[in-house]
Amino acid sequence: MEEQLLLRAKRGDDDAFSQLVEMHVKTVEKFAFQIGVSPTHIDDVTQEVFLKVYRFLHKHNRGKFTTWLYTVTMNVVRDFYRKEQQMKRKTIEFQRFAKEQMFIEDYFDEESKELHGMIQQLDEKYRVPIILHYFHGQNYQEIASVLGVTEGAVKTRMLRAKQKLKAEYEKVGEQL
Amino acid sequence: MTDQLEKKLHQLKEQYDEIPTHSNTRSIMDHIKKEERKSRRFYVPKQIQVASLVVLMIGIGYILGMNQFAGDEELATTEMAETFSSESDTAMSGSDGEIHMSMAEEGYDEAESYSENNNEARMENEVEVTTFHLEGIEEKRAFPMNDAYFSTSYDVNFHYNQRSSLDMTRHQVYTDFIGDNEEPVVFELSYFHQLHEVEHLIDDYQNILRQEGFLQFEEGSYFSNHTSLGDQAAIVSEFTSVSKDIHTSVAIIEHNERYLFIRTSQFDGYAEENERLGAEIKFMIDRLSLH
Repeated sequence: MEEQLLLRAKRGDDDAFSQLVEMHVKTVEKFAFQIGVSPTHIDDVTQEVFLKVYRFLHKHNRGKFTTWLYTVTMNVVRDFYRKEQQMKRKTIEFQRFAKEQMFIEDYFDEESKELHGMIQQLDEKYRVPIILHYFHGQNYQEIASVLGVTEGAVKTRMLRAKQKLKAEYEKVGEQL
Repeated sequence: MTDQLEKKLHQLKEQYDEIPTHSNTRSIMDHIKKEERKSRRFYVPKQIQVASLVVLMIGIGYILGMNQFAGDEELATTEMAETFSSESDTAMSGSDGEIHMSMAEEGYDEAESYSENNNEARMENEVEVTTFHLEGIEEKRAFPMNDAYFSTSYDVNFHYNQRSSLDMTRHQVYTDFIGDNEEPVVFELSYFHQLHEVEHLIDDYQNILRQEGFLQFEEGSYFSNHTSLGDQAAIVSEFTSVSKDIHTSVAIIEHNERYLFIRTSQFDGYAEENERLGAEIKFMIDRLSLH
């Protein structure tokens, strides 16, 4: 089904592309939020991701589409925040923080809120493998493709990421 | 026994999965259409045929000057599209620089082509090129061959695309030999809107190329060997990169205290890829309009 849609979309069929968007929009939004995009910016980032996918879809001819989608999302997010840093304004930062807090309150219980916060504090090299593996069901090989590193590097990062999270729990008096 | 951390991670996953989708497909598609309309203002007609030597001149001067008015890209696009499409009057016609982005055909042997021309007034170092406009209008124009240029080998069907983001503006000329396919870029001139150290800008630019599938960044010398930029711009660095069977060469030039990225790409073994490839293109950089 997805293969057919991809083929049609590559031939310029906008209906097929629209169906691909429908199929993957949640994944993109979820991944963007998990890797640190503020709820205020999720719409903008998601639009940019699909614009890039639309423009470069014809270049995608190897590997899983979702793997590529994660890579595009990561790059868009990096780009987005690089720009944002250049135009940082405290008031906007404050509003964003408030909105993010409300968003988290709405959807997470206390335990998940805590873990979400800890994951956000991890360096990107540790954060992304955890997110892709546990929240998106990607195996180590797929994660290696997304990140452009070896499978061995992914394994090491996963191990280190989990150690870091456990250490954080220890800091708050919880032994895992 | 399941790791406690893993349990927590699975629980968090369930809550992530419960978060409703914010974006809607229609608005995403509308956004794409809008952006595509903005960036695809012009297509060169396909009926222009391959010549032995093709001169594509790009009045880079205006583009170079344009970085002084960052944010004015819409104007530039409009003007470029209009220059391509017709000779009709335009509101921008009084501006300092003009965009000349036309294709012209010449004989293989430039010297021969000069001698056959009857225009005695023309300087020896000038070449007369015939430019084609969309509506079938042709005009001849003398162009200084010794001024800034670089050459590459390509097909002659192109389309122009401008891509702008908050960070940068990219003027791109693509081949158009297989329908709408935008691959590969024949010529690109890009600049970042913010002033930074050149190393920082190169990193940013390479990241963009990485996102577009390019790998293996290495020092290069393509532009140093095939380019003359006159005395108003200088190449400060060069690199090459590869994406599948496409080799791209990038030069960073310094002009008016700005760093500009110029790029050209070629197929690896291009002659086998498409029999229409192989014509020599010269990108003429009109020194007269540099400002």
